Amino acid sequence: MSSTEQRLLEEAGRCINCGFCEAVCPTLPSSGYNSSRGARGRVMLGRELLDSAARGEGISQFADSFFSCLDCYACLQVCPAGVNAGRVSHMAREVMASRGEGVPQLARLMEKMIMRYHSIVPLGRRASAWAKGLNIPAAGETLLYTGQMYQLMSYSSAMTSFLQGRGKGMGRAIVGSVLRLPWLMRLAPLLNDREIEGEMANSLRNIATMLGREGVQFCYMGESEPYPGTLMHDLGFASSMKEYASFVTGELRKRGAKRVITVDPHTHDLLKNTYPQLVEGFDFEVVHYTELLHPESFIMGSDEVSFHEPCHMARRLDDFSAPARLLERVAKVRLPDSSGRKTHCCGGPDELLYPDIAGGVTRARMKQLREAGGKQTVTACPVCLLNLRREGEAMDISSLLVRRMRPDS
Amino acid sequence: MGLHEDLTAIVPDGVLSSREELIPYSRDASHFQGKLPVAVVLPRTTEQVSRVLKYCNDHSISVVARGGGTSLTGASIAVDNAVVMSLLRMDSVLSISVEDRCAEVEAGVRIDNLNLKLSKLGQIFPPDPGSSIAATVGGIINTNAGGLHCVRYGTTKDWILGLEAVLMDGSVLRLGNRTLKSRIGYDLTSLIVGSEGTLAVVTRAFLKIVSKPEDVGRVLAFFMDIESLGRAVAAIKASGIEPLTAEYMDRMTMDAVESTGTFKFEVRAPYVLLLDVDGPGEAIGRRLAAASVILGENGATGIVSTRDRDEMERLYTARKGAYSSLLKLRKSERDVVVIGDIVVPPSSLPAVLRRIGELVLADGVRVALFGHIGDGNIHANIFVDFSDSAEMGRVESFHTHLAETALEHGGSVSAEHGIGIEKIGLLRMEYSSRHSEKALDIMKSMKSLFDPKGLLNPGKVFD
Ligand SMILES: Cc1cc2nc3c(=O)[nH]c(=O)nc-3n(C[C@H](O)[C@H](O)[C@H](O)COP(=O)(O)OP(=O)(O)OC[C@H]3O[C@@H](n4cnc5c(N)ncnc54)[C@H](O)[C@@H]3O)c2cc1C
Ligand code: SF4
Ligand code: SF4
Repeated sequence: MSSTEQRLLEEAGRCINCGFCEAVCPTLPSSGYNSSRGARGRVMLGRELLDSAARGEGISQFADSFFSCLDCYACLQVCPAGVNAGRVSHMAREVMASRGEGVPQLARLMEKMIMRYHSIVPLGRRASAWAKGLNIPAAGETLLYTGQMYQLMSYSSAMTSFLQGRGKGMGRAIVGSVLRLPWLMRLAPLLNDREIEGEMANSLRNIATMLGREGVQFCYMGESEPYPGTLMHDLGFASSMKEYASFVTGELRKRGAKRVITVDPHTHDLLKNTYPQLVEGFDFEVVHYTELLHPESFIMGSDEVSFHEPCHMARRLDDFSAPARLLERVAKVRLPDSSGRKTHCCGGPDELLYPDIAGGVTRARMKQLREAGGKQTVTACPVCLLNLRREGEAMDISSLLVRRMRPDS
Repeated sequence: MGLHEDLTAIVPDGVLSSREELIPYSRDASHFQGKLPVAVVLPRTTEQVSRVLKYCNDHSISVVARGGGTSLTGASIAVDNAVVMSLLRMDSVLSISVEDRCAEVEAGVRIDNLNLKLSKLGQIFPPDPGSSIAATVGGIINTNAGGLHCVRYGTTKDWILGLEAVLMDGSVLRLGNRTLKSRIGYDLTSLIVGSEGTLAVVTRAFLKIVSKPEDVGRVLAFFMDIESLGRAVAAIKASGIEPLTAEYMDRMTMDAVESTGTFKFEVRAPYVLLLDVDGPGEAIGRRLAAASVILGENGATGIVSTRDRDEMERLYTARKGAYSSLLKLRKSERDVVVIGDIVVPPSSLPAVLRRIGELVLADGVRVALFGHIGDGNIHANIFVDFSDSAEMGRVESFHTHLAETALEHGGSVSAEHGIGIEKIGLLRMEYSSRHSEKALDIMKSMKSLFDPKGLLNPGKVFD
């Protein structure tokens, strides 16, 4: 048994089937209450997967259960035995990837892209277009690391539907072609949404502007900044991820960075919690940009907003309240019933492989945000932002903050 | 056509039949491993429920209704070839009328979700089993669940005004009413409450609701011996204080709760009593003080009181998760926990608790004790490795002795978790101790009126 399999057995073995986790797992209702797409089912099937593997039987039949998990960790918050069905799913995906069984074709495509282009989409100069004219130095001790997350958002929607294919079987055919001929991905710019591109670039400029006004000096890698590998990690490609994380770390070091400023919760969580486990001597100080903005630099406005806290902020990081604190300085904040550690996923992680489940999760979350009573929805993650938008209006926290920054700061 | 196709014709997109999709339905929260269902069907409407039941009746296929699947007695798993019918898609709160004191809900609504909606109107639906986050309206009706607030509000049966229920032949019955009173012949609503899915599938219910307690305060009282704790509870009740909850835990349970990191008890003692008092804000302090004095006079060695909402919430969550937390104390993964769920008149608690202490030693079993002590309900959580036949023998003997103790003191072998698969023998024991075996015969005759072919949840309640 591999060490991942051992850990999977240990995690799933503690479960006593109480079913609490199932009650908060967003993918259960969104899958029509199919328990194999819910937290308790995943834990049970985790044990079943190991049994099947031990008997030398195939394991690919379990793929949908584990790949549809959002990694949102809502389950962990309510499990009295401390079991994390999200981790069970993650480890199950790692087992599948390492055995080469059950991994969806699209997932393999993502791995290939990231290893080859250091991004999901070869963005080239478009990745750094937002920084044009800002004269940010290319090297220095404090490095602003966008991880390309905002930039990738302008491709996400069109690209997802392209790869999923319109007709039956089309998705498989398209992904198959791209897998064989990865350069096809260079056509991706055709799928770019200009409007979103502009908006995301603005968000990044807003962030850079606010940091500058707080007197933070930072550098930026520009076009050569690599994607952090989030999706590859989430999909369970453990050995590629280890290799890739070393590469990214090397790139950070080349710029002389000691402190890394992140702008989105996925990259922040990955660098803070996962990289230190993957890369020996990963000793960078990792801070989120909102931690460098002083609440006193902001003034109250008349906005009333419902705040969607991203899972990777509210649950993966201990007591991470910087965005919420800043938001409270500038607007009247309405929190939905599921907030803080009990926040509800936006559905984003399922958008690529399980769009129907993702849609259901997004609808459920948007309903909660509406019921919370804010006049608009604000979030602090580009992935959440675009997902929530499918069901209504939403804005990035940076757009609101920059408007309410004291002119003298 | 085959079963899958036939069911799909009734519930499009609502039938599961691949092995990996069926596996999660082969277990509930008990230690029993059920049989893999032949199919799982997830209806959205009463009409679909009716058509599926009629189809299964015509084809002599057993059906097991399932809500949250949190049964601790194996009630919601199949013991033989059966279709499992999950009611989770029927999850709408249809109406709430504060004026009528009534909520109309579908069977698959989870209790905490219902209470979240009600709390916005200043109301609650009081039955609150430790599993309320996941348990459903249909499930708690069918187990007649109790919970942490039973000492004040009684069990589920006291809060059900009416039901919509579907019989195995597909007929839909509307029983009781949305009114607080209705005397319309035999009370079939009450008959279905607690019937563990053996008489009908509940699809809707009219629930009685009540205003939320105005304010709540909590006392934690620590005791060196169990008899003092039992006496203290009796003294509190005799004093006229009507606690909202009165729960207790032994040391092993407290250790388990602490090991999950949800709560840290300030005092280290063998037993703790958790007592909630309610009332208008200005009266809470006085009531907490009065309760503390009585507890102190009756042997509490440490008393901590709080009105801090967060702290109370954490403790409440910890208590609700006590059973699951205990599983951390299993010696190996082969260990399971069998739960003795007895109830005795609260006045007998000191004697019964002392006797249980003696039995634990005499039978040589590992047991953690906690329970809703305010209404005399004791949960004895017995660790057992089923592959160790000597240990199994000891556990069986303890479980029987525990039930006998309850009966000797005018109590019952099953308080709230129901009979399911687990307590079929104990149920027989209770009626035979009362020389009322005939009652079981009557129940079986009633079952055959509702379900002549015996297809609804077979192998539960009776053998
Ligand atoms: C950690 C934990 C704590 C618990 N604490 C308590 C407690 O404090 N008090 C208590 O009483 N119980 C407790 N229980 C036991 C259990 O949660 C309750 O019995 C609960 O009522 C079951 O609800 P459910 O929706 O999960 O029902 P299920 O487990 O799905 O089903 C229970 C029974 O009801 C039947 N059923 C379910 N829905 C329907 C329907 N719509 N129509 C017909 N039959 C149906 C099933 O066939 C089965 O016989 C606890 C369980 C756990 C795991
Ligand atoms: S909450 Fe924890 S113990 Fe309960 S079913 Fe889920 S994983 Fe298992
Ligand atoms: S991580 Fe989220 S989606 Fe995955 S099992 Fe847990 S609650 Fe469900």
